[in-house]
Amino acid sequence: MNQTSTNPRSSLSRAWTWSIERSPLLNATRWIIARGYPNAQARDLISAAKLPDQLAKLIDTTITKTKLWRSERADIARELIAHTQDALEAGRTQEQITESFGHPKKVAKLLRRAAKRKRPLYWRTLRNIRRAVATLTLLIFFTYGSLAARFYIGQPNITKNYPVMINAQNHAYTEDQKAWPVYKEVRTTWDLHILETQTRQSDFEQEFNTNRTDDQEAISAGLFMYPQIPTDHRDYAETVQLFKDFEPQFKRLRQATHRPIIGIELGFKYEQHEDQDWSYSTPLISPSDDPNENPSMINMLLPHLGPMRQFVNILAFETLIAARESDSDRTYENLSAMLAMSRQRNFDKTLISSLVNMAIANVAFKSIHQVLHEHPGVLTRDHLIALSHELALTRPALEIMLDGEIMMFKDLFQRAYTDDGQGNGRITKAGMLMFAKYADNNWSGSELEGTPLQMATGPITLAVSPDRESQATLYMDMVNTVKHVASTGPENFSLIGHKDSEMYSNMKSIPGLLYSPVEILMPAMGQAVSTSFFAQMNSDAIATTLAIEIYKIDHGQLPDSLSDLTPNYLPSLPQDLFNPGQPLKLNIANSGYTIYSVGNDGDDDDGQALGTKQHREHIFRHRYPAAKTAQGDIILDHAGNPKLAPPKGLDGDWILFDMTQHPPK
Amino acid sequence: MKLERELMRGAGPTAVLKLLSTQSMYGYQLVETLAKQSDGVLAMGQSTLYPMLYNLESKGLIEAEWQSAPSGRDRKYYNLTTKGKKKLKADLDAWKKLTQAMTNIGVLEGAPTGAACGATA
Repeated sequence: MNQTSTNPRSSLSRAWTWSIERSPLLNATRWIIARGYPNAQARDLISAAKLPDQLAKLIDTTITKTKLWRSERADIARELIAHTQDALEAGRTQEQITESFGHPKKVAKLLRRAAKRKRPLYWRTLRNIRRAVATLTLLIFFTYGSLAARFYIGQPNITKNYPVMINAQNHAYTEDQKAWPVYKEVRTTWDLHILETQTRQSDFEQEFNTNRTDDQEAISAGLFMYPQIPTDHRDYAETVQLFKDFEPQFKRLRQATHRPIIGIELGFKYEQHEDQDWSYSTPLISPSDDPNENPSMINMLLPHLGPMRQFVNILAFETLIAARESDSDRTYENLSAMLAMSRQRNFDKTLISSLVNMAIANVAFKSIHQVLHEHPGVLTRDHLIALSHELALTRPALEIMLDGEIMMFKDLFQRAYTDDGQGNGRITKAGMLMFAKYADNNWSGSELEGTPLQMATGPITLAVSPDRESQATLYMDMVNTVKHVASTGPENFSLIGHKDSEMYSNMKSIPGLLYSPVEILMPAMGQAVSTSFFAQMNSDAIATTLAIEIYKIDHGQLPDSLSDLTPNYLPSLPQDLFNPGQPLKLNIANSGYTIYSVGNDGDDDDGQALGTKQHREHIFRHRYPAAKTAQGDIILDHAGNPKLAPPKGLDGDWILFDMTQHPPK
Repeated sequence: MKLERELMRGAGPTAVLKLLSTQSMYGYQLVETLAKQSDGVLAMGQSTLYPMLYNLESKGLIEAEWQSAPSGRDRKYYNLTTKGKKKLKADLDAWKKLTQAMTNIGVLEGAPTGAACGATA
C-alpha cells in the first residue's frame, strides 16, 4: 500500500469498531432501523459533503434507486461523493460530471446488480432458496391448475349399453324356450303354498344348526330348508304331504329346467308383489336405450339366482321323497332337472352366475349320492346311463365365467374415464368418486357429491393414476392369469389362491396401489377357481360312480379297478387334478367303495380320509402347493418361507364319493 | 473514440487489473489514468467503473480499503489480490494471443505470419 494512512484511530479503537460492526445484536438493530430509513446514512453523507445541489441530487436519486441495504447505500454514496469531489477538484464542470455519470436509473441498476454480488454467501444461498421455492410454488400452482382443468373438464363417453346388449340376446328365443316365466310363477305359488309352514321351518333351521355335526353344512333362511329333515322328525309327514300337494307345480318346474335359456329381462330395481314375500318378479326400472341414463352394469340385479337356489333345494327333498317311495322315474326326473338347472344360464355371464350354477350342481351331486347310497336299486340301468349323459353335458357349466366380469369392467371404465376413440383416456371426476365409493364397499347406484378433500385431491389422482389403457391392460392380464390357472389345474393355483398370492400381492406395492380401480373390480378369484376345481372333481367322481353302478348291474360285482370301466362304461378315466397325468383312485372297502383324489399333498394314503370338506378346502386355498412339497414337518408357505406343516391328523386323501356301508364322518 | 459496450466489457477489467498491478488506486484516479493512457479509448464513467470494480471485488480479484488523504477526505483504494494477479497473468496471455491472431489475419497492423501467410500465399 503506497498510500499513507492518516487514520488517527489506535489499533484498540479499530478493534472495538470492528467488533461493534459485527455484533449480531447491533447488526439486527441496525437492520431494523435501516429497514425504516434506508437512505438516512447516505443522505447524511451527501449533505455533509456540501456538493452542488445538482450533483447532490444526482447521487441521492441514484442511491435511492439502488434499493440496496442501508450500509451498502452509504458505502456507494461515500464513494460517489469522493469521485465527484475529485472531479470538481480536477476542474470538471457540473455538466461534464453529470454527463459522464450517466442516467441515474441505469446507473442504479448496474450498481445494484454488482453490489449484490458482493453480499455474503448465506444471503445468496437464502436468495437462491427463496427463488427456488417461489419457482416451485409457481410450477406446482400452474401444474395443479392445468391438471384441475383437465380433471374437471374431462367427461366420460358412454357408448356401449351392456344391460341392453345382454337382454337383447333373449329376443332370439320364443317364450316357451325361456324358463324364467315358469320359475316366476312356480316361485310365487310356492310362497303361498308353504306360507303356513314358515314358522315351523324357522324352528327347524334353528334346531338343525344347533345340533349339526362338523361335516354338515349349516342351513339358512331364504332357502327351503327341509332337505335335511329326518324321517322321524315331527314335521316330516306334514312336509311330505305338502310336497305331494305341490306335484303339478313340480312337474312344470322340472319341465322348465330343460328349457334352453333362463330368459329373464334384467333390470335395476324390482317391484314387490302385493301377495308375495319376494321382491323380484318384474323389473321396475328396465335398462334405458340410452346408456347414459342407466346406472353401471354392476348395479344390475340378478333376481333369478335366489329362486333357482331355492328350487334346487326343494327338488333335492322332492328327490328324497320319491326315492323313499321307490318312485324310480320321479327320482330320475328330479335329478335330471337339478342337473339341467345347473347348466341353465342367462346372458349376463357373470362370475356370480357361474358360482350359482356350481352351487346348484353340488346340490344335485349330493342328491345323486344320497339316492345311490341310501336307496340302491331305485334308479334303473337306463336312468343311470341317462344321468351319465346329463352329467357330461353339465361338466362345462362347472367352469368359471368371466365374460360378465369383463363387461362390468368395461362398463365401469367407460363411465369413469374419458375416451380418445383409441381405447385410452384419463380419469374423470365422476370416475374418481365412483371408485372411492366402491373402495368404501358402497356398491349402490346413488351418486356421491364428493368431499372437499376428494375434490382437492382429484387433479393429483389424475396426475398419478395410470391411464385407461394401462388399467385395462393390467385387468386383462389378471383375467388371463385366472383363466390360465382355471384351465391348467391346481399346479398354478398359488398365483391366485388368496389375497396374499402373487397376482394380488403385486397390487400392494407402491406402483400397484395406483391400479386400485383394477383391484377394486377384481373379485377374489382364488375362492371361485377352487370352487370350480372341487365341483369338477366331484362331477368326475360321480361319473365314475355311475359307471361302477352300471358295471355292477351288468357283472353282478364291483370292478377290480377303474381301468375295467374303460371304454365300455367310461370313455376315459377321470383325471385327478392334484395328481397330473394320474386318474382318480378306487378303494374297495366296508362292503362298498370310495372314489378319491390323493389330495393337495400329492400323496396316496390308500383312501384314508383327510378331515372335513371345510378343512380340505381351507388347506387347498391357503397351503397349496406348499402341502404338496412338504418335507417332514416343515413346509414352504406361498412366499417361500418355511413353516410348520399341517397337523398329522389332516394328512390323507380327499374322499370324493363314498359308497361304503359305514362312511366315515 | 470510445469502445463499444461489448468490447469495453472484455477489455475494461483487464485494463483495471493491469493498472492496479502497479499501485493501489481510487475510482477517480482509475478513470483519469485509463482515459489518459488509452487516449480516451478506455474512458469510462461511474456507471461503468464502479459496477466493474464491485464485480471484480465479488470475484475476489481486488480488494478495497477506505483511507484518508492528507486533505482529510476519504477515498476508497483498490488493490490487486493474489487471485487477481493470477487472473491478470492469464488475461494478458489471452490478449497476447488474441492480438497475435488479429495481427495474423490483418485486423491489426503488422507483418502477417504463420497460417495467415499460408492462407494468402
